[in-house]
Amino acid sequence: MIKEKLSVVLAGNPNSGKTSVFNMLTGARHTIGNYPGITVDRKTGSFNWNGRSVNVTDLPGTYSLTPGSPEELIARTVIMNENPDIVINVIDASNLERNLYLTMQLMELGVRMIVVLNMWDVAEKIGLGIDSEKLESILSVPVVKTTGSRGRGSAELKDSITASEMIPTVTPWLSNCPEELQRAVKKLSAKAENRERNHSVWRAVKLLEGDASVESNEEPDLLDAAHALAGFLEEKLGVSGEMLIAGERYRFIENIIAGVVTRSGRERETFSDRLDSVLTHRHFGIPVFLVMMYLVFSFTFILAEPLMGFLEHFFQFLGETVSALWPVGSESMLRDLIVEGIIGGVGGVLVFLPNIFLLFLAISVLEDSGYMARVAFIMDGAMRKAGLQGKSFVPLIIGFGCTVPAILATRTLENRNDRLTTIMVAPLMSCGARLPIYMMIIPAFFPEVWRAPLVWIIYMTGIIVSVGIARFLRKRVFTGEETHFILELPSYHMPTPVSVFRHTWDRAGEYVKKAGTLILAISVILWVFSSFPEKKRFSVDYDGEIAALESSNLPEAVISDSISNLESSRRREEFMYTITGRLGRTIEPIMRPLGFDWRVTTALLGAVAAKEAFVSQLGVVFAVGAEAEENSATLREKLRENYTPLQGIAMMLFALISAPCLATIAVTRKETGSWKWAMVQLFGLTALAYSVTFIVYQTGKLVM
Amino acid sequence: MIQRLSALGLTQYATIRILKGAGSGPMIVHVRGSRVGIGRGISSRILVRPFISNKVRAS
Repeated sequence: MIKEKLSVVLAGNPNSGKTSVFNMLTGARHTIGNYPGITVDRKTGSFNWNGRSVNVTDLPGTYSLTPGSPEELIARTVIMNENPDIVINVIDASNLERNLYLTMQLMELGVRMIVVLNMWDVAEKIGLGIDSEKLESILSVPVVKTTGSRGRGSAELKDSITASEMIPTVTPWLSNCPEELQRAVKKLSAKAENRERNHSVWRAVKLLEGDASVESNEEPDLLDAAHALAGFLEEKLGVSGEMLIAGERYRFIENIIAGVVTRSGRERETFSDRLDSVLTHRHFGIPVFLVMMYLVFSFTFILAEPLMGFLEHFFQFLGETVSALWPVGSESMLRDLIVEGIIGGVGGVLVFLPNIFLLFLAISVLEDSGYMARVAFIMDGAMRKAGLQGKSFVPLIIGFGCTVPAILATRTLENRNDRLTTIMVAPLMSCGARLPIYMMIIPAFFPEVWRAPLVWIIYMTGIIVSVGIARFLRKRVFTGEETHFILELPSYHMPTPVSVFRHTWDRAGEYVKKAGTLILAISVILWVFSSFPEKKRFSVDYDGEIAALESSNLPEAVISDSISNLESSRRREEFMYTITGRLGRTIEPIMRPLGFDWRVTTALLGAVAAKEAFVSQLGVVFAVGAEAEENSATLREKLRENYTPLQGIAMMLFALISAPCLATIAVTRKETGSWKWAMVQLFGLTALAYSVTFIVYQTGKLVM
Repeated sequence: MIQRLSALGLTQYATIRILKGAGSGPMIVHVRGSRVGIGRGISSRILVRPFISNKVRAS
């Protein structure tokens, strides 16, 4: 029976090039969705070949079917629950021995499998010889050689996938292992079939290994039998079930290697090792890394400037063009909503895309080259003193761009306590959205030469505070055994433009999505709250006074000055009548100890939703005009007139520490699976921001 | 923990080559054809018997 439609999954170690094989098979036609019940994005695509239609799903990389992180669990869950027609095991040919460990476990599942020896070009280049036919006959599964990044082997693989029916795999190492183990597995799997026939051998093996997640799905009497057998094995053979089985898998693998690998390549090893001796040097490692970080941030900021300027002009132009669609001088709610609310709000966020994009680009290059793994390794010791660990590093660096992808990046942390701690402090890495706040306040109060150092001080403050919080959290809240650092360090290689761009866009895309959805909604809401209710009757007859002035004989300059003062007063009255205005007034007493008056308070209210809104809201309050950008000289003048530098610092501190935006809270909820931690994060950060700002402001006032 | 070590190739009696580090500090080792970084907590618990290469016994 030939099936018209096939479903196929790609499983393999991280760094095995699964994604390039996926792209090679599906071309440009793939979509991102969600695994049901899990938040990780699911990548699926399809292709047609030999009259059949094949659906391909790319699974997250995993080293074993006993999962480390939630991500790793997905591969196993999808294979077991969805029963794909074929499992394609993508292997890094230059790393055959370790990659085969997963292969062994997949074979235990009894699936229909194709082994893909990927990165074949690299294997050839380093002089590695693998007899793929011999491998095929040993494993009794088809073996295809590919170089996914160059598209080589595509036809052969597609042929293999669409070829006639394959037979399910058999656990190869079982027949070569000690008698006692063989008998134990046979007995247990027979018993396991009582509940369910599927995957009985694999389940039996996992139970003997003591896999907790498999145990939770099985009947108590099966578990008892498993414990008894495992105990018996340990007595007889002197080693735990876990270690015994792992050992047997590798023993079989070693035999495979001996029979299949004809020449072992060494060159790439030594190059990477030589590089490592410098980059992970006991004394030079960290300084080199710090220089690298400095380069990354300078690159980002310097290159981003002109691009951001361009975007600013673009949105301004867009605003004016749209505005011009209405007749001059007309009053239109819709126009205001679109120009001020939507274009102003969303534009304000998207202006920062270059900054964020460039940062993520740099990070992707470092990741793809293999350097980031070394960074995690070098920084692990220091991070542990800070209550985190080496693998928290990359997510936190990403946080300097945008907190949303940073929290998503914590998926690589296997330990839930480490992960939660990292998620809680990620917002303290000053994100791109806060930049306009600093860029507006600092030049308003401080001379040129102070500016760069001040920005640096703010960023460092965020880092220092996060260290304190992380230590506290890890010791008191997310307590648990200290996790141990273990991470594969892939060989260094030149990042390919395709994969760098893909990783960059994955993360920058989160920022854009946030802008397009949440920020858009919030901009509209904020605009509504800041425009209604409308005040119709004022304390002063503004229209009358303005008309009188215009027809008077006073000098031009005096007239225009007085008129603009009147306009300002009117707008202020209008604003205080609105919802935002009233809320600001009401909350003001609570914020006054921090040095904030009702105007700053109002702006902060807008900023709760999204930090980017702070500047524009402040502009509205000071009636500077529809688009207050951080370069707006008049807004800076207003700030200088009305506040002290200390108050400026207080504003920035509060913006730094308080929750960056509602999008962050939403992602925290999704990734932690509960509202509890999201709320803890929101209220915790707000309380922390309040306390720190209070202390700094009050101390400052005493001292000055 | 054993699972994570095994999955990366560090099983009982595995042969490793120490690339960087010594004693019980952080280390980079070659094992089964790949390179793995391990932290203090693990390296201090690995017993190694020198051989022509090294053999590892996890404890």
